[in-house]
Amino acid sequence: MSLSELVFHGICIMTVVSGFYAVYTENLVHAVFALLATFFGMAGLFVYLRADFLAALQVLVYVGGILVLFLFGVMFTQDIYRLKISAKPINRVWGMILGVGFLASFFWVVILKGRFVLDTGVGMTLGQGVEALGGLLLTRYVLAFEAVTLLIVACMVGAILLTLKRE
Amino acid sequence: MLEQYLLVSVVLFVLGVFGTISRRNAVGMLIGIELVLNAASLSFVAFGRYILPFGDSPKEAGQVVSVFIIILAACEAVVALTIVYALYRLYRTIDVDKVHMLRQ
Amino acid sequence: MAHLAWLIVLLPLFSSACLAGFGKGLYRRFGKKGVDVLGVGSIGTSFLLATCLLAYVLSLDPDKRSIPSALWSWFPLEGKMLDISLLIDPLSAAMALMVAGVGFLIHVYSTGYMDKDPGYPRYFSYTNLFMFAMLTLVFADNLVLFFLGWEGVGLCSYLLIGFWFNDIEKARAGMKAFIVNRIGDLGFLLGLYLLFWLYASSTTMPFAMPELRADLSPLLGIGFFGQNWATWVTLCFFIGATGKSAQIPLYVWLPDAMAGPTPVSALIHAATMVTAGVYMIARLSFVFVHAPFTLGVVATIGATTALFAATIGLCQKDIKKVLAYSTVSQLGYMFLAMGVGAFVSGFFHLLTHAFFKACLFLGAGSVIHGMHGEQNMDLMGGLRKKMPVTCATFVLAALAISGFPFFSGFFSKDEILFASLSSPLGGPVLWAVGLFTALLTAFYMFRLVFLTFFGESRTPDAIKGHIHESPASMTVPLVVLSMLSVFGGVLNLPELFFLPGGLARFLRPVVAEFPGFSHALHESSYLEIPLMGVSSGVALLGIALAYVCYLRAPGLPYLFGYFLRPVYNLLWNKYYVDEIYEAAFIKPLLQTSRFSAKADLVVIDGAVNGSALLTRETSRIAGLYDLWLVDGLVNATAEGTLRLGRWLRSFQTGAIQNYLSYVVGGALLVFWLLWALVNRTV
Repeated sequence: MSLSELVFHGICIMTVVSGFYAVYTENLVHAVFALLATFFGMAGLFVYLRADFLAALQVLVYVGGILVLFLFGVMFTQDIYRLKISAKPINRVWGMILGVGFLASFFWVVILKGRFVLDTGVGMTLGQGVEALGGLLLTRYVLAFEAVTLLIVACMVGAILLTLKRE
Repeated sequence: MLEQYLLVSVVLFVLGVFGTISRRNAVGMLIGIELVLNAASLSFVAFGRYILPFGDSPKEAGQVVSVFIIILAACEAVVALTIVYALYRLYRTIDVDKVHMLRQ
Repeated sequence: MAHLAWLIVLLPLFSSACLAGFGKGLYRRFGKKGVDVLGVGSIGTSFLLATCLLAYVLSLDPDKRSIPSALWSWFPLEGKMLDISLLIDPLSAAMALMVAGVGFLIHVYSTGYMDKDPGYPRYFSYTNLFMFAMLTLVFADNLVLFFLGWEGVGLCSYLLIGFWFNDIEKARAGMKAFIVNRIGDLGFLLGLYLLFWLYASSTTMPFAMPELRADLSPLLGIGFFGQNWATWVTLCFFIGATGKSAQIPLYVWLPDAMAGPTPVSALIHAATMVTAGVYMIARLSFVFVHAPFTLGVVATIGATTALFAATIGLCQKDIKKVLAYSTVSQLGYMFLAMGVGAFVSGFFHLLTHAFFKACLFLGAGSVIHGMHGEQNMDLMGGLRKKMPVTCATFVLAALAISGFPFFSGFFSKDEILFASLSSPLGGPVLWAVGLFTALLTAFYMFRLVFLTFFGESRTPDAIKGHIHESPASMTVPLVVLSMLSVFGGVLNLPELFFLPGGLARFLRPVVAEFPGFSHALHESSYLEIPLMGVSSGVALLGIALAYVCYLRAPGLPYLFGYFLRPVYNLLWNKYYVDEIYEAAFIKPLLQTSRFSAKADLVVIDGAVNGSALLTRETSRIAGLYDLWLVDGLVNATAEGTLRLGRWLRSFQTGAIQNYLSYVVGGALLVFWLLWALVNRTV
């Protein structure tokens, strides 16, 4: 097992474990920090998938943007000084059952039955990375891209409207 | 290799669903949703890397979809957190159990 | 320039649509003025444009006066294209000017007559729609468009007869008009089908009139009973004309149509719509001249109708009924002219008749307006002093229709009588009938005049004090129309006067001529002056008779009525035609349906009752079974549903998390089901 593989497994385990902690802990601040680890793990996985741009994007948007937003959200809405930042869970049993059902299905289908594995065995060489991605976004997927831009504008306007204090 | 990525992806997905279902707290639910979105994005990229593209779709199609997912996730987080903040202003709590009587 | 015709046609449609849409709002916002601007203004503009159009046609070379104006292709028929297209030629231009002009005057009059009516905008919406349909009919270049207008005027006639639809009698009169017209229209449609069939193998589009005129060969082939096809086609068209123009046997709707507002009677049921049949024959004269048999039928029916309706008109008491029968009679006159091949004379009479009959109807409307809705002549008399303008115009128009020398009716009627005597298609019998009708016409018209305007007043005191002259909006059109009916004759002075027979020369390029017609007329031109003398003598005689009977010796009519009681009864009851139709067509129809109903009762009800008995016995057995088995099941279902509902209610928590878990669970389930399905088939 090469170092690269070792690191890869380590990243996988870190992602999963911190994801589990993020959803399981009753302390929301801890949960957000666990999510941070998950996002970093995801970025690592993207690097292994030769999607460098995505990895960068993941760190920038998720870690730099969304996570900070979450922290703000948590801290704004909870009285941290009286240490009430906790979240009592519900439906744990149902959630477990469903989760286990999903995992079992996955194992059954992908691992045991070998379906969906059309793996070529070797990682395909990708195109020119960022350049190719940018070209695609501005040619083939330009309509979706523009629609998404419009959506972002709508989100911004919506967010501002929602937080504005109505006198 | 693909299986391993898919395994991570599905575990994250299950965790996200579990988190969304089992949290009372709105921010907590959002954390779960982010996990689900990340799982989807991961499997897109993994499939795009390891499986030959269909028809004339480019090799980077999976990555493009992931880019869109990330953008949408950001939008969704912004709006959702704004709503959470607005709820908090109205009810002084963000436990969704307690705010399902909309605008009393 | 020729495209002006489109504007003439479409302006009334536009205003009609506007009034139908926003008429009520306009009326509420601006009152009458708002409606008038649209409803009368559009017709006035159409009238001006029609004047321009006629002037334009006149300015052209006589043999270049036929201008088609196609707008767009309508639909293909057997590979031949039918256009939506207007035909501007002397005939349509003259007719359109008459329609728009008389229509405009009547619209102006209506603003006074319908003054206080709550349906004011609706009224103008209908009349404008009528003008649109009528002008479409006049200008139509092909028979399908013509039929569209033909049906359109029928529809508007129905709408306007039943304008006061709260009165069941009036609504019924509208329906009668519509149904009787439909019978005629069936004939017209048959004619169209026949034409289409005849031209199926030819490249000519038979419905486009210029094309049809250029290629008549399929029509000249021999059809049924040794008559050529032209005869059958024209007979079918003539059936349509008897419906629309109220000829025997389909005239019965016109007297009832007087239920509508009086301006409508003037516009639709005297001046324009009812002359559509005559116009149609003039339009298609190039086909009719090849069908002498049809022309004979036309002349016979025309003459018969003229006499028949005139006799009925002798003893009607309702002022509008008299005018209605007079209209039928005059239409008969026009058909007589058409039938003897004197198409121009018929059309000339159509124009003059439009003037004086519109004037008469409007005068009658003025009287009715002044009398607060009273129409019975027995309750009038002496109105001359109360309504001087109405009286003067009415007398002038009555002189015109009676054929008083040098009034318009004199010239047109005289031409018809002359033609009916000397045309190769005519004869002394037709002439005599025409002459006698002229006598009757003069008599009943002046009976009407004397009973209404002269003599002692027989009005009940309750109304008497309120009788008043009508407002200027009503009298001005009356004056204009009366002038037209006095001087309208100059349009077509007889050749005898060494003056141009204007209309005849104007229409010559359009209207076909029956072989030998003008030669025969020329041959017998020495008869013209004596005939004029005879007809003016007859007119004077009729007037004098009426004077004696109704002013000098008012007892005389009663004496006649007493001694000739059966005749009087016959005439008073309009020859019992309505009753005969009732007995011959309507009763049998109703009886057939009643018989069917009875058959239903006996046969089908019997069967039904038998099966009912059977069913009852079966159901008794089934009932027991029901009680034990089915009811049990039903109750169980109900109970089950209740329990299930209670159980399901527990899922509707309102918490998002729960819903989400259902979604995920469901997705899992679907996944497994699909999985199982895929693996089974693979």
